[in-house]
Amino acid sequence: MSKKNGNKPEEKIPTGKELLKMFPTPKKLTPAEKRLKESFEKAMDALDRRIKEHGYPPDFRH
Amino acid sequence: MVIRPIFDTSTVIKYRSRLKPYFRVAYFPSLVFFELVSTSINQDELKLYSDWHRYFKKDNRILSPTENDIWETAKAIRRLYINKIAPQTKLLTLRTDALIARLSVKQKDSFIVTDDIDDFLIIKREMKDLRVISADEFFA
Repeated sequence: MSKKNGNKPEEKIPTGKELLKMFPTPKKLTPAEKRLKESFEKAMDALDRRIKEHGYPPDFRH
Repeated sequence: MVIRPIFDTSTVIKYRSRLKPYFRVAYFPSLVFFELVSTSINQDELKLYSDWHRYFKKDNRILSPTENDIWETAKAIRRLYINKIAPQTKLLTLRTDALIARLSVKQKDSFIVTDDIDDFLIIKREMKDLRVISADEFFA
């Protein structure tokens, strides 16, 4: 039997759409997910305001 | 099977309004929390990150580098520098990304979603098993 070369083929990386097909968002959220959703929306507005005020993209990395 | 996205900091900021559906499967690196929280100047924003932190921690989906990860990643960056793979100024900005990349390589079911695909492709030269996709392609 011939020896296979060591290079493994790269696994396909799913796009966001493909991922959501595999793991659809449940219609009924758990209490933790519900809390997360609410705080997410509220904080998103705050973050939008911050970026408007300080410019985009904020320098987070250096 | 790679099914768990890891969003880097710039992707979390830029695509923040589109992240939530993926939280059920994603991993979250503690390093990204570090960058987000240390630069948050607004109470609502801090509360958001606190909620995320609680959510991911409860599910045991926060990834943190070990001492060995930091050691091995430092050597990888050193090799990039010695082999002149990228300008020194670029390598300075890659440190956190390289640690995030290391976490992803170790977590076999994960991949990186990034807005800085070029940076991660540089890192991939030293971490061959790194799986990375651009945020543009992921959210298309």
